[in-house]
Amino acid sequence: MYKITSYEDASADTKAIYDDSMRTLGIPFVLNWLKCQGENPIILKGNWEKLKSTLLMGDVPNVLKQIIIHNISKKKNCNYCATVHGIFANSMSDVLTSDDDFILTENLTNDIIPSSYKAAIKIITNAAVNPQSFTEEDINALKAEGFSSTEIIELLSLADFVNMATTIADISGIKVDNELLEVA
Amino acid sequence: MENVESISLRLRYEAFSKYAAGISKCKEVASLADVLVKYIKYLMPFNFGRVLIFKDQYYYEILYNNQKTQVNIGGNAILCEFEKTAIDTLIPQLKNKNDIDFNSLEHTFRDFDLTADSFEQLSIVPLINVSTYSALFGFSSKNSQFISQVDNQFATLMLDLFLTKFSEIKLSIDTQVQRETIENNFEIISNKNLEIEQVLINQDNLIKKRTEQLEARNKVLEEYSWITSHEIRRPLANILGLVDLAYHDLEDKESLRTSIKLLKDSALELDHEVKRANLLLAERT
Repeated sequence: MYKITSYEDASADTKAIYDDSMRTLGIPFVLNWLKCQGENPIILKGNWEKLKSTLLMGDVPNVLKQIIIHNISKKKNCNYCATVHGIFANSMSDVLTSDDDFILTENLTNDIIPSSYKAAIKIITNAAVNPQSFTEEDINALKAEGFSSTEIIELLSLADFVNMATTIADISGIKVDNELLEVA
Repeated sequence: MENVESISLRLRYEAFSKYAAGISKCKEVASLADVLVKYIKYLMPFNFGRVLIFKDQYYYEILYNNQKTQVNIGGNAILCEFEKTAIDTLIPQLKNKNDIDFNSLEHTFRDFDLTADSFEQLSIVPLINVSTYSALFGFSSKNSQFISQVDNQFATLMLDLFLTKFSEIKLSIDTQVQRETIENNFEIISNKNLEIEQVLINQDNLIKKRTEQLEARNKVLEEYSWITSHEIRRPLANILGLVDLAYHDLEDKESLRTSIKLLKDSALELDHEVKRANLLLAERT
C-alpha cells in the first residue's frame, strides 16, 4: 500500500534520516518501518525523532522498553512490531521472548524477575491497549515499584508510540525485515 | 529453571551497566546515593532498605523506600544481630519477616512509615573493602515476594561498585585535606624562613656597623696614641731638656731668659697637642 523507498532512491533529506537510523540503532540496513515513510521526509523525520526519544534515549533500560513494545504489539496483533521488537529485546537471541519453555511476557508472576519490570510491562501494556482504563492507581503502582515521575512519563510515552508504530506498520503492510530474520 | 535465571540475568544486565556507568561518573559521595537508589528497582526487589558503610568511629548510611531516600553520617554504627553475623561470617543473611525483631527495624527506619506487614523477606549482603571499610546492603521484598540468589548476587555487585567508588572519593578528599595541610605548613615554614632570613640580615648589618664603629674607634685610638707618643712627647722632651739647661744657666741670665722663652714655646706646643688629642677623642669616639 505504502511505497517502500530504498536507500538508493531516497532524497538527500531522507537519506540523512536513514543514515542516522543505522548509526543510532547500530544496524547496517534501514528498517522497512522507516522505508515505508521515506517518500515524505518531513513525516519520516517527525516519526524517527519520536522513536529515538521514546525508545532509545532516557533512563529506563532499553530492554524493558523493547519488551513492553513487543508485548503491546502482540496484543494488537501487529506481527511486524511484535517480531522486530522481540528481536531487539533479545539482542539477536531468543532468550527473552521466544523460548518454548518460558516466555517472559506470559510469566509476569515469576519471582525471579524484579517486580518493577513486571509492573511496568503490565501497566503500560494496559495503558496502550485500553487507555481509558488508566487511573491514578496505575501511577501509584509504578511509584510503589520505585519509578520516578520522569521515568513514568518515559514509560507512558511507549504506549502512544507503539499505537502510532503499529498503525503505520499495519496500514503500510510492511513485512518483517529479512536482515533481522536472518540473525534472529 | 536455568533458562529462567538466564532471562533474569539478561534483563538486569543493561540496568547494571547503566548503574556502573552512573557510579563511575560520580564526583561526590552525595550523588552516589541517588544513583544507587535509582537502579535498585531494576536489579533486585524494591521495597525498603539500607546501605551501611563503616569503619572505626565513622559510618555512612543510606535509608530508602519508594517515598524517600535519607542519608545519615555518624560516629558509631549500630548493627542488629543478623547484621553482625553477616559481617563476622561474610555470608549473606536471608530472614523472613517472622524471624525479625520489628522494633529494631522500626528504630532504624524511624523516619519512615514502616509497618510489620510491609515486607516478606529481608536480605543482608556483607562486604569488606581491603583494609578500609566494612559494608552492608540490606533490602526487603514486598509482601508475597521472595528474594532469590540472583537478587543477592546483584546486591553484592552493586555494593562492591558503590564501596569502591565511595572509598576512592573519600581517599581523594582525605588526600586533598592532607595536601592542603602540607601546603599550609609549607607556607608557615616559608614565612618563618623569611623571618629568620630577615633577622640574619639585620644581625649582619648590625655586625658590620659595629665593626665599622670599632674600626673607626681603633683609628682614633691609633691617632691618639700617635699624638701622645710623638706630638706630646716631643715638646715634653724639649721642656725637660730646657729645664736641665736652665738649671745649669742659673748664673747666666741671658741664657736663662732664652731657655725660659723656649720653655714657654714648648709648653704652648704641649698645650696645643693635649687640646688636639682631647678634641680628637671628644669628636670621634
